[in-house]
Amino acid sequence: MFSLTLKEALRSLSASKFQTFIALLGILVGVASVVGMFSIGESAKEKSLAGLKALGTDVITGSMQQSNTVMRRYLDTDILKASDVVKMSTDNKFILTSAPRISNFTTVSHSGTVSNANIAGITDKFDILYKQTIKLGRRLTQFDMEKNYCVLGYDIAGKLFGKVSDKITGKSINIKRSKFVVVGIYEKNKYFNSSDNLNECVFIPIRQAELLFESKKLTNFKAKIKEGFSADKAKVTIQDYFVRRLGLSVNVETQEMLIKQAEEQSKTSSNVLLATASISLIVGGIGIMNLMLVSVKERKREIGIRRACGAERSHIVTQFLSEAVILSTIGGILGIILGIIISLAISIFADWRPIIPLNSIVISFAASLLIGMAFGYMPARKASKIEIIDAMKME
Amino acid sequence: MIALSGINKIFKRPDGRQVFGLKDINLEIGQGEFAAIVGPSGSGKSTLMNILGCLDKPTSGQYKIKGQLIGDKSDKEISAIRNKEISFIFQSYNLLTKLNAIENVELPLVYRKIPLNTRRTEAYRALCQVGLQDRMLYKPSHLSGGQQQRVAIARTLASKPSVILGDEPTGALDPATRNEILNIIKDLVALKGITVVLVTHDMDIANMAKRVIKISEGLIIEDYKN
Repeated sequence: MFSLTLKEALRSLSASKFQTFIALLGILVGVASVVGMFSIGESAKEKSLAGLKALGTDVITGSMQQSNTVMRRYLDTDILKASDVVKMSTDNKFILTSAPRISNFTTVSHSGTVSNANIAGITDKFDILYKQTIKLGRRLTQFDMEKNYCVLGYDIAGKLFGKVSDKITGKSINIKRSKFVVVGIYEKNKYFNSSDNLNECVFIPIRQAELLFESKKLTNFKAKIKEGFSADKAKVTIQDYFVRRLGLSVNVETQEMLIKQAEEQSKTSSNVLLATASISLIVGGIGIMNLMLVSVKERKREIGIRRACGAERSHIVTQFLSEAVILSTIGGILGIILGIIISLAISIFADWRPIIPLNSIVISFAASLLIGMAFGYMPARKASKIEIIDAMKME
Repeated sequence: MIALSGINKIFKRPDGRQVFGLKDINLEIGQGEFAAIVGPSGSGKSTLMNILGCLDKPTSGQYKIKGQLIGDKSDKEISAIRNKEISFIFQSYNLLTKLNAIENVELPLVYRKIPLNTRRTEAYRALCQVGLQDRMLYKPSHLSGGQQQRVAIARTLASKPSVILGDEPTGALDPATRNEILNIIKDLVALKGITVVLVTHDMDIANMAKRVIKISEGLIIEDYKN
């Protein structure tokens, strides 16, 4: 009985292939987006977390609290400066080394090629704390601090010079109205971080950045703490230190907190994406309901004949319901395949490891099954309620 | 076998007026009887047939098949009666267009939950009886009217009912095929213990019948034995 129901359902669905395909398109797109969203979310999370984890848990990050930076923008005395961070790291014995940084967007150019870039004012400690390695030339040392030298991030080097080659070192670029000599190019940083992409940065000595932007205001700093010293304790101690010494409230975060934040954030965004995808699943369900309603109307006579031959109402319900479920399941399977293809394609484009979580496939498959049942039930019930003599009259 | 008492069927017209389709019908047809119901169109023949076949319910009155009162049965129980006790032969054949001949013949057996092998054998045997075994994989659209009606008769044979109801079974056929079908119906009637009720305009069928029931304007006006 079951295999016959299945066979007949497939037969009547294949009778109008085009209509059937249109009806399951909604489910297909819905499921594909659920699978795709899950995969993209997981891959992006993995990549951004890998970036944070690569820096190590013995690192803390400090920045001025938002309200302070806005209110005290023009008061030179109330801002956190590079010199404050240097003093902090000598005053606190548990700090091994620290790297202050000033970041600002402006245009850079090289012989007619103009690009917008993130200018990062750094010290010689930057490479250690940010785990940056040199590809060509050399890094900025403590002896370069008073010089107009710069090191380029991998991507911005490509943008300004067409392609990365050892011919770039020694050439000069213009930042605002000042000339800077390129002394090196960093290796491409694999870790994805949309808000702070080091591959798009031009690195200059922090002293030069202060002059260029006419402000000593630090964007943030990173500090490495001694092995065995608790990161949480370091956070509290450093916050206290800045309040006591400078009356500044500096926000210090441990690497663990940043990882947790990133995880939270990706969870929220994947929930939003999932909600959007479920709406398209529901729309897909309506498509199936529509096809089934039309089908019930067209097949009134068939229903009448079956009933005259002894089919119970429940047989008719089963017949139409299984058609709807098969329809949505086919849509679901095609959607899963499409979703996997999309995830793989994006992973190649975005240069990250494709992750297709098994639960996304299970969930979306179950969802398509459930939607078939939910949206197929009404038409199936309607079919079973048709009076036999009315159904037989239809020619 | 069949017993109707005080059956009324009232139809509501779109304008709200009520019209009697059947008026106080009292009728008994015994097991093994062959009866023809005749009468002009609109007289209520088909309405009576639908009630006899449990396709429609009377507005009032009692209907019994094999002593079972139909009125207070559930859809499931009535479906089982339609499935096991009754079989229809319609003027318009009423075959499922998507199924081939043998699958159509099997249909009542499917709802009886008979396993595939058994029902296929039964259906094949029935198709042999009407001489269509070599057309068993044909869809109805590839069969002539006479052949389609033979498939419908095979469906009836395979389901081995107590009562066969025919609604103008030769109505849509040309004279030659009509005779062919008439011969098959004669064979059906000869089956032991089977009750056959045919609605017809065809006086040859009516004359074949052992009993003729004449209906006019929803009333039985004559009931005689040939």
